[in-house]
Amino acid sequence: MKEILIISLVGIVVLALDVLKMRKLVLPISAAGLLGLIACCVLDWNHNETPFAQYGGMLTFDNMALAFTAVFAFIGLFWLLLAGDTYTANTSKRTDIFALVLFSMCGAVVLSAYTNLVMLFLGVEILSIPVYVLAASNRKNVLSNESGFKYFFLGSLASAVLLFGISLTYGAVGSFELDAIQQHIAAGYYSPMILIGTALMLVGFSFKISVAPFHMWAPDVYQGAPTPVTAYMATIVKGAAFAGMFKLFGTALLPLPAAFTTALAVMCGITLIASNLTAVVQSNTKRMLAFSSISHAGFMLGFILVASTTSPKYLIYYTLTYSLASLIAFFVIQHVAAIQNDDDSTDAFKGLVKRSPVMAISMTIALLSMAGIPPLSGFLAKYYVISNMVNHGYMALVIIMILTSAIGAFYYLRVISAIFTPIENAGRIMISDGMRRTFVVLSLLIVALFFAASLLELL
Amino acid sequence: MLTILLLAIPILAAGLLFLSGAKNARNLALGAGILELIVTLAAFYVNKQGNAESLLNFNQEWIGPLGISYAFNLDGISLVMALLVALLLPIIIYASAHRTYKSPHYFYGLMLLMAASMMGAFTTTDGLLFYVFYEFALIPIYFMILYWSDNPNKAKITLKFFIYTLFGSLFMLVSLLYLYNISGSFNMNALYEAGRSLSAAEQGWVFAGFFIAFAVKIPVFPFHSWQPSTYDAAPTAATMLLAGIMLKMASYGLIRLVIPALPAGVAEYGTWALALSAVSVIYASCMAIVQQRYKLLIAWSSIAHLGVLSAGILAGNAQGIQGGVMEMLSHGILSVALFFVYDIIESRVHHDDMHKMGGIREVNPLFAFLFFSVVMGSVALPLTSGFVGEFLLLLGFYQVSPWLTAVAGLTVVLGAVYMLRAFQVMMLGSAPASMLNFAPLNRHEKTVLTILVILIIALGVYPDPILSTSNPSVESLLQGLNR
Repeated sequence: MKEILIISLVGIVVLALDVLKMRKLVLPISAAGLLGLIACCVLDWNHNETPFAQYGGMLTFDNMALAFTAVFAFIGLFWLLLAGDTYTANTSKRTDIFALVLFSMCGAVVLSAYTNLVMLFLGVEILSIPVYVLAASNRKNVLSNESGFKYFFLGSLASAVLLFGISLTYGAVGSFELDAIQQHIAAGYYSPMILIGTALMLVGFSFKISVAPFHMWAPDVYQGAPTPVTAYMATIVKGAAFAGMFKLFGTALLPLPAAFTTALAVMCGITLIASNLTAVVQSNTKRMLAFSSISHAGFMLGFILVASTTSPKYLIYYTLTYSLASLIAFFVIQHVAAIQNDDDSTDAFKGLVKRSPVMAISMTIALLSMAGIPPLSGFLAKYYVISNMVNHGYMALVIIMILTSAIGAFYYLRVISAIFTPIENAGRIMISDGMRRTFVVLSLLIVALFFAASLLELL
Repeated sequence: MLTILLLAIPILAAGLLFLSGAKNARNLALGAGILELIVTLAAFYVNKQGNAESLLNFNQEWIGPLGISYAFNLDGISLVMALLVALLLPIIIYASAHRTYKSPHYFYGLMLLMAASMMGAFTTTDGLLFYVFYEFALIPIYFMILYWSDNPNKAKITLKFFIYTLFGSLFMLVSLLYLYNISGSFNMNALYEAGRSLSAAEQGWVFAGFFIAFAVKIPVFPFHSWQPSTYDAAPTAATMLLAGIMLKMASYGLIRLVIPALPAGVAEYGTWALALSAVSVIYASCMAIVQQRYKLLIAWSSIAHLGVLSAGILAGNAQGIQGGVMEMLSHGILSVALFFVYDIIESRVHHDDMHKMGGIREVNPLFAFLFFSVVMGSVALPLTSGFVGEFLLLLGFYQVSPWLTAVAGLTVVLGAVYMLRAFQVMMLGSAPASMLNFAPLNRHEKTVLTILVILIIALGVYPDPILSTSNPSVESLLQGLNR
């Protein structure tokens, strides 16, 4: 319970600081709040706290929920540090944006801990609504407005579909509780109503995590939204939706009928193929990363496919490593584009190694990690997926994953080779010391998580 | 302990180079290389004494519950491979003495990182760790070519190189995972057991995965097309690393993983691989014959020799594997020597078009003599290291398929054709005006080339230290395989 209180209070305090004209305190206080949140997760470890149990509970902070929450707080912390330079301390833009992000993270916490379909829906909505605003927060930019509109319309449609699925399931079971649904299904069979309900929930989630064939919105929204917001969407929003989906498909709806596992496997395959093939022809790095983000969603969908027998810790690891790399990638794009008239094409990266060595090396590490090259944590993340797929006999998916990984390396390397291509008379790109340090820490984390992967087995 | 030192020295030296800046970068790297060589020789000594096995072993859990550990062991085969790395690394560094690279500390740092990852791949006994080192070696070499090459097409060439080899090695990952799924551990002995317990058909599939990975990197026809352009574009030191050491990881992988783990797979489907290797020999030799440029000629000749190598290893008997170990060492030394000759010529006449050269022997007889000794090693003349390796390889191959051996054996004949022709065109005849001011070898060029020639001849005359070191390990690898 403390977790939700902390994150919402920090959001409110940030808003209050704007009114009190103490904007300088926004970053320290929100960072301290997120650190406190991580500390709370550590202290509550093994407690399995269910707040308001006498009123039905609806949330349980078991270890997996705490682990997800801590990871989101950790990523959020770095997001705040990196976004600090974009949203300068003396404008109310900083307070607005930071508060919205913190409120949205509240939804992420709910999604990690829900045990009740009502909470699932609330979590999805709390997570999404601030992001609709965030996507359109660059008010004078047409693309940003388009992005916000598109995300809002399609996102609310997806929410409606999800809600329809939840209500049908409720109609069949007579309860929103995950346990009750599980017992009902285990005792009897999948009634047609639950089948349709599950299908609709699957569609709703597929929108949120942007897997094919429900991924069409993602490239436009990611490209149009202000880059820091894109970074937030690709990391925490996606991770939280996956956390929610994992719980639903890994516990409540078991045993999944074969039709659903087939559907998930097919979706996983076409997501990987469609996103990677499309990413190859992108010349805009932000759009390329949007497709890469869809491709990673395809990989993560592999965990959902085997959710009933696999621990979520591997999904957590994937979310964490992919998010760290994404943060670097999107914020480097932000800085590179900012200095040259918002040009975020691949060519804009030429000569980056001379213009800003720190950003060049960090970006290289991030992209190589996304491509899954050892010894970077992105490799182990992909390894866990593929290992699980081999284990469960999805050999066709394994082959697709491997082929698309090689394709993925192609478009990541194109950016890297631009970074290391020297150009004439390029000026240096100056970034603040804090930013430089954050990039270095993030890069080191990407490497360190590879060697420290045994920590994961403690979960 | 020694195994960890072998890994730690280059990694620490690379870190030091990255942080310290450009001053004295080459000397520092050279120092690290020599230190590495000393430690390797110490390991040889320990191995010969045979009473301090714990010095050559290291085992520490990495991800315990998943059966992945930091496990290294210097057995006979690994020792020879470690020697290959440790011997060639200082030579390659010293050989680039007259070249001035921009940001040399990064260049040599990457070189040392690459040496570390190759050392890791050659000494680890954990399947996943082998994959990690195998894959990681790509990163430094990719940047060495991308940033230090003069070739205008380098972006395209490096991309092709990277994707090609990554694509191949991902298949190895699947094969490894398939075995791991049965064994529950990445320990190589567990993987062997898991592999042998599979049916012949399954072994065939797993073998196919491994073979694609290794065939891309060895390289074997038709997976070779990345190689000539990459060799051509890379700065010479990088080409030496690639041809001399890095590609040996693949043939080493055949010995270490495929032969002991998948006997039925090799027996059943190995014929295809053998046939491809034989085709590789002929095709690459013919390509080498028609090359106008010396560097490309060497690149193609490399494919031809490595075709014999993969065929001999896949024969799967003691002679073939012993020959493989010997040939890896010998071919490493020879490649470095041949590319060093390229470097010497290129630094003087600024091209490598053989038909525009000639008569260098008149101007510079010492260089011609040393080059000739290298050429003799390359065409596998008896009493050179090339002969020992190729003879054993063909001997092993012969026991499996005499006909294909006859085809692959043409490498010796065809090798003589292109190498001697190259020597003749470049060195003999009367010198054209452009060659008359061909500068004499300077001190370090003399030193490097002499050391290499001495090694080529010494290993040819007295290969016993190498063969007797690797023999017990080869025997124990083949134990339990009914051949």
